[in-house]
Amino acid sequence: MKSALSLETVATCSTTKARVNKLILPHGLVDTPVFMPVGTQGSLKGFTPKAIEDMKCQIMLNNTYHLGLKPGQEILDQVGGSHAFQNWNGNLLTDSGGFQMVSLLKLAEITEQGVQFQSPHDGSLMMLTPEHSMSLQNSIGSDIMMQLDDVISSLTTGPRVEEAMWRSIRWLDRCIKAHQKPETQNLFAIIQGGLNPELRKLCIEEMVKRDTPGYAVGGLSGGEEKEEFWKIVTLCTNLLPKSKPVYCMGVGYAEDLVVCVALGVDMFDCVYPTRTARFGNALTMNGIISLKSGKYGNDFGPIEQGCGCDTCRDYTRSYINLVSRDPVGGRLVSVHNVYFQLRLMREMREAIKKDQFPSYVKQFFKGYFKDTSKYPGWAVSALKSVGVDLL
Amino acid sequence: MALNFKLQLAENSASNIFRRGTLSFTKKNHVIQTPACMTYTLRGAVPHLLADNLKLLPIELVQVSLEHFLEQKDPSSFKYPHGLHKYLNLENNLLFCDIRDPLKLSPVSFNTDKYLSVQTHGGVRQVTPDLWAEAMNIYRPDLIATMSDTVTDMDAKTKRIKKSVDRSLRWLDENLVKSKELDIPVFAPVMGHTDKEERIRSATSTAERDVQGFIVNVLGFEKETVAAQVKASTDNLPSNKPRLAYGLSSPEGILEGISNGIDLFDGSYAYKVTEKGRAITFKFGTELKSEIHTQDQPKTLNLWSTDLAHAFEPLDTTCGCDACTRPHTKAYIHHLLNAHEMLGPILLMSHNVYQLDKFMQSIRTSIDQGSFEQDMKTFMHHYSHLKESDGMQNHEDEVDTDSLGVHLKKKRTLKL
Repeated sequence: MKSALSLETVATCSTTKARVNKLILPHGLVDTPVFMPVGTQGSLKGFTPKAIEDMKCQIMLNNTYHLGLKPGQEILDQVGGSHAFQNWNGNLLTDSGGFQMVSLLKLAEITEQGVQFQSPHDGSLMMLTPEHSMSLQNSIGSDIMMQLDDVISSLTTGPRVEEAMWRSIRWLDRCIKAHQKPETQNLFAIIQGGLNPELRKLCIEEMVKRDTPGYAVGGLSGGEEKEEFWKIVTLCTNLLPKSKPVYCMGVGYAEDLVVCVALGVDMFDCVYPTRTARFGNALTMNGIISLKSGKYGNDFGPIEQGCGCDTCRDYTRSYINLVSRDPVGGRLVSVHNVYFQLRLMREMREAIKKDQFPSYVKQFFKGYFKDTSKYPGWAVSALKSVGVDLL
Repeated sequence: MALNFKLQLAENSASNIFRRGTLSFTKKNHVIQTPACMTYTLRGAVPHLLADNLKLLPIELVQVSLEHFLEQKDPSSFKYPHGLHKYLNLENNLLFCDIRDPLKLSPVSFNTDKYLSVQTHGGVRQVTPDLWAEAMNIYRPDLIATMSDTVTDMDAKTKRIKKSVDRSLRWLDENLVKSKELDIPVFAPVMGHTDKEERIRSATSTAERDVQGFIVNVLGFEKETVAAQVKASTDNLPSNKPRLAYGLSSPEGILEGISNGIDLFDGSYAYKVTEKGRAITFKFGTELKSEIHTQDQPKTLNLWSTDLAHAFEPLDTTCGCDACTRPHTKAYIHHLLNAHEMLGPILLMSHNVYQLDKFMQSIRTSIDQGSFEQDMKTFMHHYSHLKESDGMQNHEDEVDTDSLGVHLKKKRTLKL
């Protein structure tokens, strides 16, 4: 399939499966592993596009379902896409819209044709087909688009899992056919198969034949046991072609990012850092702190010593505590949290390039969890599988 | 002297009392041109905006309200050892500290001879001269207002008003001891409320004190009575000291205030219109191209309006704010409001702070060029003076559900 991206591997870890790539997309270079903050409705909450640029963020997400509702396909077509609409010239990745529908709408039902749902406007029956998802994402103009997949909960068992896997393959073919702009927009396939390794292998085999510009590991981050989660991730990175980027959707927490990078994942997204910021929670290398708590009232240090973000340079925990209920408070912590995520990824890339990634991983876990007894068991297992002994 | 005010002798006739001046903060080597608006803050921050936004804005003299910091029973700002400028990340700005928020008239619960009350989210707080002194000592603003017994009851009787005049004078004298010790210049509130006689008495007595400026308060007053009340105060104040007014934050209020001898205004108007989802579009003087037949033009643009969904131009190509320099389009800002996104108010606030300052610049130019009276007439004729409504009123979220997929003709389902 035609590709609008190029990938160059710059470094690989000699112990784990971690790698650093330069990913060239239509709106510029993206250094992977990369964390992509989520600007759901064409805006990353709390940031101006200039502020996102200044933070050296190279790619972020927009949500297809939300942009479809507001401002709508017609306006996006008129203005020439989401980049132009929000005046952001970095890269954009969009999801297919299917997941949001299933989670946000009443009575959304998967049929062979597509996702059937009730219009939020008047209750009439509508259908999000693979073709329509492509059309909407073409209007948005994202640099990376996701296929419409038959997304099921990771807790689902039984024949539904296999049905969803085969259907996702059929929908991938329909997406490829319907995609109008392969020379400027990269369509990624989404590997399904639930928590069943055999189904995952089958799915990968089939989807790799379609030779899409990249692959996502779907159907995870839905509340499944983390022990199952990492095994599926590592299976996928083992089998997917090394010449393509691998994207783990909906990941997330700092420890998840570190482990998945060790397992060979290149791209991540999650609303968590920005959402938790608006609740006054700041992410640091020493764990998470709740700045709304009165105990920070007289704490005149920055959120995190040694952090290079504007918030830590200019404000104290005390002041952020004072304004924690104002829009300004949410902004201050959002700036720090996105900077934190990007800093974590940057430090991992540096460590991989120096071939010192295992020691970075150990140092991260020590700082974040303090006590080995607090290390999540699944993370210890996962890292052991790639040659890093955390304990 | 920490604060020097110089009036330029206007070439206008003796009957005009509008003034053009400079306010020099000598310790900081910073000169403010007047008439001017101060920048409004909420809990020490320009609402919605962070330092990277403020960089683009012509912010100089910033007003902070002590009551915002007293929400905490044991205010953490009182414990910060490096002063208020640094605590608020406003080290490059001049800070004016008053006690009450000038944005709206909040009823005073109960003042006594010993304290004035302020409402906070955490409860009512009592501000005594000692507490005031402690705050100013720790904060070290560039300019401070002394304590005053503000009467908020519009039907207050003479007895109450007289008491407020006397109380405020006593507090002024007590506060002055501290302010002189700290060597911080002081603006003294001039009282009198709705009673002209008391305004004259308060102004005359306050003017006897060694203060560097005066505050005239007409917040909550009927529009028609404002000019007379302001004049009753300013006519009895020395002309060589600056006058700050509260309650004259709108463009009409500012023009009325200037015409009655006011030099400084609070900047809450920028915030008020932002919260209504509106962008300032009004111009003044040479910036305002007006025809004789044009009148009742809107002063602000309602970004909630569905009409703007396809308006792919910026608000104002001559504006230097975050919204206009990117530039962002009206359609995008409209979308942000419709989608209830934080960036909407951020862009509007940046724009409105910039434009309010531009308005003041145009006024100063107009006074310098000797055309203020004419320009004011033109402005009042050109624009509508109805109070701007909340842009969000009657707004129904615009959703383009048709974008989400194809309609199915066959099956019908229960209407929601």
